[in-house]
Amino acid sequence: MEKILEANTYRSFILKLFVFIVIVAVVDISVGKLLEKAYFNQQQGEDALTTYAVKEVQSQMLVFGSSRAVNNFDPAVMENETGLSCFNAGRIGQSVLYHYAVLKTILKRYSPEVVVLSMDAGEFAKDAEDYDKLSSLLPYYNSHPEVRDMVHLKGPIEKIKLLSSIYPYNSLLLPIIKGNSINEQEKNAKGNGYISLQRTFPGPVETIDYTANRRQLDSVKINTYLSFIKECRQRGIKLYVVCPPYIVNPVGKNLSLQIAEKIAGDMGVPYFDLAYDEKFTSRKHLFADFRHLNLQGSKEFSKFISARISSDEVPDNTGIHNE
Amino acid sequence: MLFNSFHFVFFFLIVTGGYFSIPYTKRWMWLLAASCYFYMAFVPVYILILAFTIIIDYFAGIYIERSEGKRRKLFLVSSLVANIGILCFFKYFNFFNDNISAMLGIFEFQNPVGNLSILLPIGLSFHTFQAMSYTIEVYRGNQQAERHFGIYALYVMFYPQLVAGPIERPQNLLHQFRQKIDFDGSRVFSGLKLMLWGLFKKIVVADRLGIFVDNAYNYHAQQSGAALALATIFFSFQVYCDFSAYSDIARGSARVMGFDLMKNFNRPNLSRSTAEFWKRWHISLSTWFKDYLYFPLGGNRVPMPRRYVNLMIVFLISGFWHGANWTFVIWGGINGLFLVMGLLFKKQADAFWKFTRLQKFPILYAAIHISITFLLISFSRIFFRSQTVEQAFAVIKKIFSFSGSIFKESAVMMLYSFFAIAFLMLVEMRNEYKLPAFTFSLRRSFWVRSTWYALLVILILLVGVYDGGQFIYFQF
Repeated sequence: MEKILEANTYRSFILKLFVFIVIVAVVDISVGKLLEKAYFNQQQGEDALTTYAVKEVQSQMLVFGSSRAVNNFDPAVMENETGLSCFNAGRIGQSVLYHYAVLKTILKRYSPEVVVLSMDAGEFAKDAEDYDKLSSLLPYYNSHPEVRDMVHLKGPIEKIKLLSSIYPYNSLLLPIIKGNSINEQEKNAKGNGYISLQRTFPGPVETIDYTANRRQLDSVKINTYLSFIKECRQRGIKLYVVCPPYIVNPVGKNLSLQIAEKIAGDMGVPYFDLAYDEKFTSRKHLFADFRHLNLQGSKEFSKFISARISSDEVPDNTGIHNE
Repeated sequence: MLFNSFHFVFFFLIVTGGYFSIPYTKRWMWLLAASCYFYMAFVPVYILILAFTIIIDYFAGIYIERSEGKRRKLFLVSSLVANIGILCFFKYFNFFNDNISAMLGIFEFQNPVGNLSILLPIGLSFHTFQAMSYTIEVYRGNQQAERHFGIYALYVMFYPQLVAGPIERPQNLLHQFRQKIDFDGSRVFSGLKLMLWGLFKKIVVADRLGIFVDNAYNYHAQQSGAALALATIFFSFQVYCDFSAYSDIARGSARVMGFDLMKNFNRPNLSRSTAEFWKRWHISLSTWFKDYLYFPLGGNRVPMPRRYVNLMIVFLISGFWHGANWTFVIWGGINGLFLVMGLLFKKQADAFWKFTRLQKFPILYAAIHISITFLLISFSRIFFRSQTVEQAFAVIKKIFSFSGSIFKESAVMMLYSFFAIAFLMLVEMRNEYKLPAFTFSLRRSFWVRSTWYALLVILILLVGVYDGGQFIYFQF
């Protein structure tokens, strides 16, 4: 009798648990589908720009990088100067891991003529946050297998989390609502990926000692950078690696930038090192803060870089090296 | 192994499944093995420290029971010295050594003893206190010494509460390991619900607020007073949700297997005085200090000045228990002062509130008291959150300069944070004041309840923070 009762208890529990799991699955799939539709329907915001880069962009010239790409490279200026259509596919806060994933999705559709990769001082430093930020790629996980290798870098259980249809849109509900709530005029006005900064750097110029407290290097990032270069070379894309200016007094040399320059040199890729170039650093009013140019600065910088790309030769006295 | 990790999900499923599959007389072995694995998932070698204290306290319990008079006391003292000695060595050695170095430095002497480069064994303060409560209770005659070594080891090591409590008492837990616990579906669901609510508090509330708090406190020099004030308020909610989430998941996972662990939090953010707050916050530690320190010091049966001193002693030690840093000592001291001031000025405070006639408006009266208590507790937590005393004072100075605008991580992040707090407080107020249910968690229909909990899962998936990291109280 006791055994029968126990068996009934188990059966009832398992049945209820099963029903609960089914309810969760149904709600998850339904809400996930709705979110997916809404996500890809966004007409503004950084997600809309990423979707545009991944699915639609056809520009001849593409810019990749973090906020130092987004705020420093103005595609409108670059188009004027080079005669090539240009799109800024950079994303604030992202590292080379993200850029490589987006590049691969684009290369599946077409090969741009020119790619510009913007470098940061901490580009190859070990930072768990850079892996967390790869969440921006989750909405493309199912539709674009090219991003999967990079998404898996987030952790071994990412695949399990992605069994949920909602998880790819984690923390994106409000941006999705915002990205969808625009008027007719704004519709399809995604922009070219460039965001201007209006403020002017107030100073003072700080000293950064690159010799002290060096952060550990991340070999995964360095290898991804290498893969980025190789992929462009294989496709015959002209790649330029650029380090936009910082307004700081540097002590010693930044390890990430040294490595980026060395690898670019070894691979025969032009590397424009403007990190501490006086052409910009002597003019504080061109900066919004120590690592970003403002509207005026970015226009000058974009013009300068475009000129270098157009001529594809670099005079020795600028401190810019060309292979 | 973190409660908010997939590693734990698999562990929990295997352990619970195994637990109900084997005869109840053998279950202690299964649980003990699982607890060893759980602990060793952090730093394996530290299980030796646990084993050492378990052996000491196991024999101490038996010898205390067998002995009388001074010998009985001697065994108790030996056990306490061993436990406190281990705690001091691993947790406080560097703290004391640093302070000795600083003092010697004043007289231009150099401290010949270097600091230890060791990691603090996880949960040391928790399981040490739980072990001490056993020998003390045996000494007091409230608990029979446990003869079964495995069961005693399980009392100290029971995985749900091993690393961050609740700090159990032998009278509540030990006998449960001998009970024949049958599978009970409704109890299992009840435990799972508690775990789910804990997960919600950790992932949706605590870790979300932690993003703003960390940015504000880690870069406090660049923040405005307003931003730091908001971060301090957020931290109050964060630390509550983080720690109570751990307790909920611990209690929930124990309940699934049929164990009843003590309640550790009772909606402390709705306390109307700091004295009430300490009856609702980290109840297992507060009652530990009350039973084993405050009462032996004389409790409330001593003249008032002595009572004030006793309160200060308890709170200073409680602060020190939390961490080997002056910030925690000051935090404890401030909370002790709140209680002493509350007693000292009780008559004046009562007269003031009578004068305001606010008691005629009970909701407003309660809201004012709750707000004042919350602000006082939040203020003390500036020391709890700061890395150094200097940082704490810098933050306080900034806050009271009433300067600047609130730093925004992003508008979206702020909205999520406020949503999380609002949802939490609505649920807490509903439970505290027995308000009409705005959730469907108490409905009779299984379908309605299931849908409600499914939505909670969806909410965790949708707005949870998955890179939040470990629980704050793990460091203690």
